[in-house]
Amino acid sequence: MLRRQAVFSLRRCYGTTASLRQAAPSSQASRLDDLRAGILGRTQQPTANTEDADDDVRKFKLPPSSPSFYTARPVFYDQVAQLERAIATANNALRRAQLLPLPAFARASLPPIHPVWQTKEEMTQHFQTKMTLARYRKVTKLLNELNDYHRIANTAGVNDLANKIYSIVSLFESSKKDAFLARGKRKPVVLDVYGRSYTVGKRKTSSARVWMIPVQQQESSSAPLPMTTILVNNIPLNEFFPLPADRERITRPLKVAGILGKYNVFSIVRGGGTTGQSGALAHGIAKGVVAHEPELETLFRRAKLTRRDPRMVERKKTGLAKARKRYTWVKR
Amino acid sequence: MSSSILSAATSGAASCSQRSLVASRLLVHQTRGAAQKAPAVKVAQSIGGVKKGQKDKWERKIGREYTHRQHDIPVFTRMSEDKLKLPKTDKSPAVLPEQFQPMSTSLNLPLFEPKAITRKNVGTAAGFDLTPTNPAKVFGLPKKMFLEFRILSTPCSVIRDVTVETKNKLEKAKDSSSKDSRIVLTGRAGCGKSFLLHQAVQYAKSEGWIVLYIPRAKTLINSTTTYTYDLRTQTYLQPQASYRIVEKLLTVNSDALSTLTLSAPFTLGGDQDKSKLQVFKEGTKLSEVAQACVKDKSYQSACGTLEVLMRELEGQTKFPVLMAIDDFQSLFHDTAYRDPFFRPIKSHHLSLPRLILEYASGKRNFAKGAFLSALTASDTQYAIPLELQDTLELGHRHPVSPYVQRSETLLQYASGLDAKAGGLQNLKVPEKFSVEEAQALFEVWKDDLALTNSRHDETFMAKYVESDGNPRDFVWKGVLASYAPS
Repeated sequence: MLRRQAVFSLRRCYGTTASLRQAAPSSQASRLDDLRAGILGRTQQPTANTEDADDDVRKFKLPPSSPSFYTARPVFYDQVAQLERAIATANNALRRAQLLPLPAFARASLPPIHPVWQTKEEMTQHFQTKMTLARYRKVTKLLNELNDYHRIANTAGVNDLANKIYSIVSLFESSKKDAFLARGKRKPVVLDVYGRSYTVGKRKTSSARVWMIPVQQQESSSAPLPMTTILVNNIPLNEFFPLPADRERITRPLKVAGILGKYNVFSIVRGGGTTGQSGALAHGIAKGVVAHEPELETLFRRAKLTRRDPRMVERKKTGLAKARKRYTWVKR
Repeated sequence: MSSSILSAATSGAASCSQRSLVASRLLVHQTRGAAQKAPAVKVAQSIGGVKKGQKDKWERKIGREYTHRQHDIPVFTRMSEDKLKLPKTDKSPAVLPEQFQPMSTSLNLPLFEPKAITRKNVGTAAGFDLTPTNPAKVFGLPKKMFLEFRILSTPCSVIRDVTVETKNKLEKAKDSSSKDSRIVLTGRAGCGKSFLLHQAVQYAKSEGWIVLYIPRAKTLINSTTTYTYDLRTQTYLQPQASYRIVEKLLTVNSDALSTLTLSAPFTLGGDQDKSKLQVFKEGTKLSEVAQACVKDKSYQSACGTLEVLMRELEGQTKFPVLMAIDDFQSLFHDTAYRDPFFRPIKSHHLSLPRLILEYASGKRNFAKGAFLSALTASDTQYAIPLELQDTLELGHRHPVSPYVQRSETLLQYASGLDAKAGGLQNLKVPEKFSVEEAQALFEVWKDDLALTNSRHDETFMAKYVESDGNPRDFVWKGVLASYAPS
């Protein structure tokens, strides 16, 4: 509809091709000719040979391909117009399918979709025009509405409509969408060729790099019970951590999961002191257990084993002797 | 002086109740005035000598002190029932919990005897007998073992595969000179070297060997006993320590010593009083000689007696002799004794360490018998010296410079220990308990009500993992150190 209106308005401006040829004065015609030549791809000045061609052009003057041709940002307005048309079409389709207007409870029950649109710089390339904030907002507003219709169509199961909407919407989605949506979430730990997990645990200023591998159980019954061996900086656990409290902290994740003889642990710990290092090692072991056995993820989360203990040494403040300790109060 | 469990238990129970009565009488709240007016309690002090007429009293006191210091295997005595009852409430009277009912829980362990030490029995716990002549009771025990037996109801230990190995070695050594069977037990701290040595001593005693067991060799060099310089031998003699050894040797091996006789006449006595010298003819029983020495409380004759006893034991072939030394590495250090120039005296200049080192290096040998010793890896004051580390090829934690001085004399003593040159054999005690052995020990403590947790399997596996199978850590920092509620 827009297109027809535009064409009609253009025709009114210019009239027919015939009237154009008669009415235009020579200077104006020459300027127009230049323009036409530019549009049609001719670089040289119209010569006597091309007069016939010019006559042809004058005879069959086509309107510009898009109504926004004479605007300063044709591509931009074109795209915006296309989006608006798409929104209208989708709206109509959803109304016919009686999915719009959607009652409040239905709207609340829709699954959240987090769109990540291209940045202003990326859209600048797409629209071939500098995307100011106002233009960006205009575009994203349209995209969000379209995305909303896509969400409704998707949930309702109107797949072809949903796919069509998605095909438009996906043109404007950022390439960094997955990375953005996965921000703040834990990267899933992958077991390597030998079935080892590599995780990192931290506590206070200590860090522990932990490798866990399942114990290779021998076929013969020479060993009645498989036992976990924990090596810390290549030293057995009991030599590295002499305190029973530290040792118990480290074996706690294995005890909670009930897998005390299942995995061997090798780790490199750095930084901090005994408590920090033992806490970091426990954290790393917990993450490693979850990597090997994903079913225990919820259990460990509830037991706060996979939680990185955020407590750090509080800084000293001015006017205080230590973080909280005040100087002796003197009456006078 | 308590001699058996039963008597000790009954007397303990009785004395507990008596003591509690006495204590209740003494716990009278005194006012300050009454306390000041009360006569001061006379404490026996011998400052400036014993007063006239007090000699008997003083000697009795000394006698009691001496009795108290004997190395008795501590016996577990039960508390009186009143103290163990749950306190009474309005609703219920005082109740004795089921676990504390007499004879409800007791460690029923098989006896540790030679026929029990077999491959089949590896991984089972066995209890030691509690006769008065038990070497542990008479000679004493290393400190950690002493504390452990004090907590346990019955002194016991686990039979390991190294136990069987050591038994086999001792069986081979029975008929050969001790020069061929000089063994040092080595291994990581807490891996069970002292326990293994103790097991060997018990085995030897049951098999009828003559046993000389020194559980804490560092007491010979840490200047806790007297020493005098002897011009004839040009060494420092240790009368008090020699006396103790003679006495203990006699107590434990009295049967064997009464069978053996002197091969040459021997004059007992010191240099002080010529008229009091006692001459023993050839053919006198060794037990008589030892008893005469023990009677002489001035310790003057001790060194000579010990020397003659050792010579006789070397020569005789009737009984194999086991010399068992714990803390062996301490004999390679400078002692805490000082010479007149205040320089530390070397261990090989003291009579007893020298004696031990000579048997260790093969300079002196028993015609039949063995020399068995254990190192202590966890003593920071007397660490394993470089000479021993090099000779026994124990490996170094940190790189050692070849420019660090090794004592030549000690190297000479240690070179006699070189296994390749037919010297000391290094018997490496495994660093870890096997799972079966750990299970046996765990069950001993569990049956003795040492665990606070009812989840035994989990506790066992967790403690095994935490201690990495190390026996000492498994017991002290694992089973006994966890307060996890059930």
